[in-house]
Amino acid sequence: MHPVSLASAAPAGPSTAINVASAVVTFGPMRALDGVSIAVPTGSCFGIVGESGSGKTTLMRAILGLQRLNAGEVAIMGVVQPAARRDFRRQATTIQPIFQDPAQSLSPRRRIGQSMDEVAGCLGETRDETRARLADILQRLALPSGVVDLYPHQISGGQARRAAIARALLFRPRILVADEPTAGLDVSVQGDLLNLLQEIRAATAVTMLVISHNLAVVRLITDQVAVMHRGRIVEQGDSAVVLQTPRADYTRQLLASWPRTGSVTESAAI
Amino acid sequence: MEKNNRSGHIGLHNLSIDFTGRGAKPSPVLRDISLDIPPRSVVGLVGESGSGKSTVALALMGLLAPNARVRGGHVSLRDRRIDCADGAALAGLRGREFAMIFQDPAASLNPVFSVGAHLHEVLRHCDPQADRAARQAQAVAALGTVGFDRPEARMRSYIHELSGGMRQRVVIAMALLARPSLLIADEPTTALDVTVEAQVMAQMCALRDEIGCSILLITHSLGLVARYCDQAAVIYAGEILERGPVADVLGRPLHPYTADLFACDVEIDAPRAASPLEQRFQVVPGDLPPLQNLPNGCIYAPRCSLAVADCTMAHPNLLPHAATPRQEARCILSR
Repeated sequence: MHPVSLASAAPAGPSTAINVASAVVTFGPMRALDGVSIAVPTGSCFGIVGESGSGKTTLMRAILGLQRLNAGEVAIMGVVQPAARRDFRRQATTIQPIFQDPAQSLSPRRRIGQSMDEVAGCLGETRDETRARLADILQRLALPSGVVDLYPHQISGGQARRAAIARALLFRPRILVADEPTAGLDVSVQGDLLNLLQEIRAATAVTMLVISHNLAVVRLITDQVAVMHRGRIVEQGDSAVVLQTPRADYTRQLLASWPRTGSVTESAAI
Repeated sequence: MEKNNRSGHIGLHNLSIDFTGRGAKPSPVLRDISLDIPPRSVVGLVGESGSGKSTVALALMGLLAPNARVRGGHVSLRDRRIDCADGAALAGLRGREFAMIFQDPAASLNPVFSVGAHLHEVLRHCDPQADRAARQAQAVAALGTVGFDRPEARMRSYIHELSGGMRQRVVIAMALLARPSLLIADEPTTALDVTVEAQVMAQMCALRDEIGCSILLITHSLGLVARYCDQAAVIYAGEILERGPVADVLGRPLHPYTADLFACDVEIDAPRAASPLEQRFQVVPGDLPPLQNLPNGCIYAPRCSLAVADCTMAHPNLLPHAATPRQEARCILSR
C-alpha cells in the first residue's frame, strides 16, 4: 500500500461533501429530475439506485456540473454550482468521475501517459512530480508502468478501466463519483474492482458517490442510499435500514425482483 | 403462424475454433464445445469474460470474425445437420430458426430508422404475406409486451431518443416477432435494472411457452441461471468444465472452478460487514491461462486450490458423475 500517494491533499472541509437541494431538470415535457434533494456526508459512501430512466445519470451529470438545472441548487464542498469558469481547474481536484465506459476518460488519440500529463497542468505541478505519483498509483492498481506508452486500444478493457481510475486518483480528489462501476463485469472481476475501490476509500477517506442498479453491491459498500424512481427520490436513509426493511413500495419491488441463486427451480423440470 | 414439428433437441457438437493473427500462433478459443438444448428449455452458459461464451453464440449465428477458423463441429436441428464451418448454411438459419439478442443493443439497431421500421423489417422477412396494418398491430403489441408504456408513440421514436434499457427492449421485441426455434440471448439484461430484467426474462419464458422455442442464455449472472435456466454449462478458457441440471450444478458443483466462481456471487441477502468500509469481496485468484500456451492437464489446475500432482498429468474428459449421471465435470477429483 502507498497511502501517501493516494491521500487527499485537502484538509477537512465542510461536513457535507455534496448537497443537492430541490433539483429540477426538464427535457422537453419530461421531468428527468423532479425536486431531488440529497446530502452526502464528507468521507461517506453514498449510493444512488433506481431503474434505467429514473434520473440517476442526470443527477450525476448535475453533480459533476455537466447538466444545467432548471431549478434548485447543487453545492460541492460548500461551493454552489456551476462553479465560475476560473474555478474549473480547482473543481477538478475536488470531484472526479469514474465513468462506466473508460473510453470517456481516455482520449483514443493520445498515449495514456499524455492523458495523465494533463493532470500536471491542472494541478500546477511539474510533469515529473505527476509522473512520480502516477508510478505509485499504477503499482497500487496492478498496472504495468509501461502502460503510459500505450494507446487505450492496446490494453484490455479491465486495464483501461483501471487506467481511468488512476487518472481520477491522480487529481487527489476529495470526491469520487462512480457510475455503474460493476456493469458488464463478471463476478470475479467485479470483486476485484470493488476491493480496489474499498481500499482506496480506506486509504484516502475520499467521499464516494456510487450510482448503480446493483442493489446487492450497493447494500454492502454504502453507508446511505437514495432510491430514485421517475425523477424523484422515493426513499433514502441508512443502507442497512432502507435495503433491509424498505418502506417505499418501489424499493420493495426492486428487492423482490432481485434474482437469487438460493432459489433454484421455478421451472427446473424438463 | 404456428410452426409445427419442433420436437427434438437442438445440438451443438464438438465445436472447435481457432483465432488466427498476423504471423502469430493460432489461439484455440473454443475446444470441443458440445451443448444439448432440449425443446422448450432454457440453457445457461456461464463463465468469466474472455472464456469464449460470446464466440459460441456468434458461431451458431454464422457471425464469426474473418480471423476465426472453425476446426470442427456441427449443429443438429430437427433432421438437419449443419457444418459449423459452412457460414452460408448457418446464415440461412439466422432470423427464422436462430435469433439473437446482443449484449449491446446498438449493434442490432440502425440510428437512421425508427423503432417501427425495425419491427416492420423483421415481420416482412418472417411473414411476407401479412399486410401493413397487421404488421403494425403485431409490432405495437410486441412493444407493449416488452414493457413500453405508450407503444404506438414509441413506434415513431429513433434510437437516440431511447435509453440503453429501452433500446435493449426494442431488440427483444424484434426477436419476439421473429418467432425463432432458438433464441440466443447474450447478456440480454446487463444494461437493465432488476425490475425490467425480471419482466424481460418472464417475457422470454412466456415466448418459449407460446411458440415452443428454446433459449440459450449467455450470462454471468448466477441469479438468472438459478431462476430461469433448466440446464447450465460452465465454460472456462474455451472449454466446458461442467454441465448438468441447474439444481445439481448450482446446488452441488462438481468442478472446483464452478464452486470458486459461484463463491464470488454477491447475493442480495449476503451478511453485511460491521462497517461498509470493511466489506471485501470474494475473487478467483489468478488469471485465465494464455490460449496459445495452455497448461498440460487440467486447464484450471494453475488457479485451483484443490489441485494435486495428477491434475497436471493428463487433460481430463467431461465425464458423468457416479451419483448424479446427468451432471458431468471435467475434473479427476470429482468422479
